[in-house]
Amino acid sequence: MQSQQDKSGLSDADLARAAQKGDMGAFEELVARHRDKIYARAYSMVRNEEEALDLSQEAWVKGWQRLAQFQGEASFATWMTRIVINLCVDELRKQKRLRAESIEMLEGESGGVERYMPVTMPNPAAGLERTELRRRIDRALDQLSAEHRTVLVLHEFEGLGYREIAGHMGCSIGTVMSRLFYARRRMALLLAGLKRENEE
Amino acid sequence: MNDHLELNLELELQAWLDGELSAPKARRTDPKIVGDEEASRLITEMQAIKSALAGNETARTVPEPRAMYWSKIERQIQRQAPGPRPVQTPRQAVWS
Repeated sequence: MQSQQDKSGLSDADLARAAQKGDMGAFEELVARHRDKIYARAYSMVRNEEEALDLSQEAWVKGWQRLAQFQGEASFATWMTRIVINLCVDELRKQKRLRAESIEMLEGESGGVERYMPVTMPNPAAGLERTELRRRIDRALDQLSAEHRTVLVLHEFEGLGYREIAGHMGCSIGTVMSRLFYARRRMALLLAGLKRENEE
Repeated sequence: MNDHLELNLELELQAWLDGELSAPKARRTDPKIVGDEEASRLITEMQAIKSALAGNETARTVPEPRAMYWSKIERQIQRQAPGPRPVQTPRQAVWS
């Protein structure tokens, strides 16, 4: 316990260096610091508590195994987040919740239903208290397809650019763009619907 | 104009909004937004969604105590890891 208290004063970079030398106590401190963030990212993608828990733990195991590759160009938390994102994408693909690009492209060419929706309202989130807005966003995310949710989460919450998302998802930039477009349109519709539902 | 913009234009507008266009391409896109009511509406909607999502991800915490969460990771590491060689603490030492 004493050693953990000592480690709590160390920076992530110091802990990562110690962990790279095999100090598992240092790695445990990193896990303790960032476990919520890594779990939350997994949950945002797979939308299931148990799966998110397993995937986040698997990510930490992978993180330990790949520690030698961590060079500190990005923060440790960012580096770990990339690992959990890749695991989630692989898992969604395994479960066939992420469809093959060719099917997505076919739908894109024929025009997804979102494309033909009228622009909803200037701002379907206007006037909402923050907690309520978060609750509605969360509900709406549950209703998006895995493809749409993944690009939206990676772009809007994780701040990744089109090219990086394409790399994680193993698809073209064009596919990322169309998925993001439909995801936003669907999200607008869902938030507007939830708003109307609440007003009635 | 058609009620719906061409898909390529819609994606171009989105890329413009996301700052994914090169400066010359973005300059060429500007007038398309100014001069088209449907394009402006679409940009407004996408901007509203972008702003609504920014900083509004629901915070989630691991639904397990720290020790329980860590113990599964530690077990997995010890079972399969070639990684950095773990520093053995007296508690973990195996005496033969």
